[in-house]
Amino acid sequence: MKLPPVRFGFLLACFLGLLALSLNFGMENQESFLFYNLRLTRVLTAVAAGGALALAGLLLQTYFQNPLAGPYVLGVNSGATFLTALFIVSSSSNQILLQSMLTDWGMMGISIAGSMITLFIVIFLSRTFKTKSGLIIFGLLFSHITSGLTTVILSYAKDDELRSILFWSFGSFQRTSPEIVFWFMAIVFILAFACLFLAKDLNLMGLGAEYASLSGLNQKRLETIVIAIGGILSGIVLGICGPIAFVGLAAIHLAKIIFKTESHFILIPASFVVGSSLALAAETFLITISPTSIPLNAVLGILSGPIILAFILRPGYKWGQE
Amino acid sequence: MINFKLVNVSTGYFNGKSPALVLARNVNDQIQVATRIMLIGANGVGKSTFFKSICGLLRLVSGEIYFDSKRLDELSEREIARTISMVTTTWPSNNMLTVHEILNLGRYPYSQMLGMMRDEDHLVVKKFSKIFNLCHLMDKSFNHLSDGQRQLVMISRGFIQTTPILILDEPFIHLDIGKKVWLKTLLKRLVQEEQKIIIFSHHDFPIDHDIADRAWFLSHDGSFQVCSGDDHSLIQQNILKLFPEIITLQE
Repeated sequence: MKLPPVRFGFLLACFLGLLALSLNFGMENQESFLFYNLRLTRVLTAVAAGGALALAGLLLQTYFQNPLAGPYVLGVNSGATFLTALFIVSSSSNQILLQSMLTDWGMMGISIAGSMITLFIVIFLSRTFKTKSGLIIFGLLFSHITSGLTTVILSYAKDDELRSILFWSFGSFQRTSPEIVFWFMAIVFILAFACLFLAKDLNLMGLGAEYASLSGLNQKRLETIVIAIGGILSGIVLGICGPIAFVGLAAIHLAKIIFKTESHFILIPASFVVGSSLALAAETFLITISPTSIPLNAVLGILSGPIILAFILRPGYKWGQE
Repeated sequence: MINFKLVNVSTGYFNGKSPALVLARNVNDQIQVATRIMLIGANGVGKSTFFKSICGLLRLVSGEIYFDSKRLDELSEREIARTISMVTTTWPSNNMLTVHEILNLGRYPYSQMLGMMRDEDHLVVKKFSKIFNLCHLMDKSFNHLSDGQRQLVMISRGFIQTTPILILDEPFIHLDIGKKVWLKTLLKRLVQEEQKIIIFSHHDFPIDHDIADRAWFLSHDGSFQVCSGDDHSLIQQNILKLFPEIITLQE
């Protein structure tokens, strides 16, 4: 197995190009440090969030050996959204508690807890669903139930709560405060580094759960780590940026298409960079072309879908066979 | 010296805590290394369940399994994987893996923190890929192989795990006649060279006398019979008992 340096170089070049463009666009006449600081925060948030979502998606896809699995599809996002809404609405009688929750750290904490709880429920219940399609159907059902419950909760919310929850549920890289982005990046990078120590276990999962056990994998341990890291990564993004669809799914497929490997020593850094680039591309699009706010999720879908389709429809490519 | 010991082993399936279905009952046997054992039984009699229970994938209904005075169910996952390996009748679920990657994963029980392959790991992989004539397939994707080639890759992976006990669930399935004969002699050679215990299930008839050193028979009522591989008449007798259809065929 050889590391494909050319592909990594190309990917990094794309990433750095996007980074430079998004940071400098429209900055020629801006002397203000404050403005630059805001732009930097926005861009770094996109980089960290994209990478985090891609890694969470990779962990879940590999753990379930299911190309459709991901925090969004399995209902982790909607489950955590429901729990967040529940917390906010039920704590509304207590002003101090409510105020502390509506801060960045509060939202982050609730979302991480919510994501980990949901992930635990999904993994626990998924043992009943042994087939790949069964897991996805379960995720969709779970997602529908929890988003239905969220709507019920919201109907009990007061105006200002409703606004903050609704605003948050659109998903955006622009609401982060400069103070929190440092910690956000630090946590994401540390967890990304930690994921490298999981690479050999994740590689083994490619043989299927039975062969993985026969080869001596401690499945309980891997399960716990996947819940913990996957939960923190998707939860932290959910708390800071709101629900972001598609990156978790798209980045991994793109990384696998580009690098043509199942080795997680390559896939972990590759999906991270691809995820970052996708998020950054969407954010660059918002910065450069659309000054009036188009919802981030719309841009992400419009951008990533065609990229993947172009790769799949490329002549000579057989889906999932390379 | 006895290496592998089964004491009153019963296997089957659980429903919650209580055994719901007991297949093999009260299996007792003691085996030394350099032994090939063939397990014979009709479809659905519980051969694969028996195998999976021995290597810890399924909980034993009762009984104990010892290897070199260590009880298998007291070992960690990793220690079990260094003692006993198995080739099942299913393929790896991920169809993007290459043959080389699948073979390398056979070294997982010996991997370090990051899981990088050490020199000795590469040597083992190289050795068995040569023995099983897989060198020209190494960079091919697993799902581009024929069923027979896949079978050889998985058997080779089982050997690469370098465990004293190797279980092969129907190793001759999918192989052409030439490969079947070849694998038979190969197993005979490797069981001596590697000082292994190889346990496999087998269906072909008539049974070749040289295929195993010991035979296990599992019948529908769960009773278990052990025969020496030399005792051809007893083996024949047991086969006719398990598969009465053969008699009408011969008449």
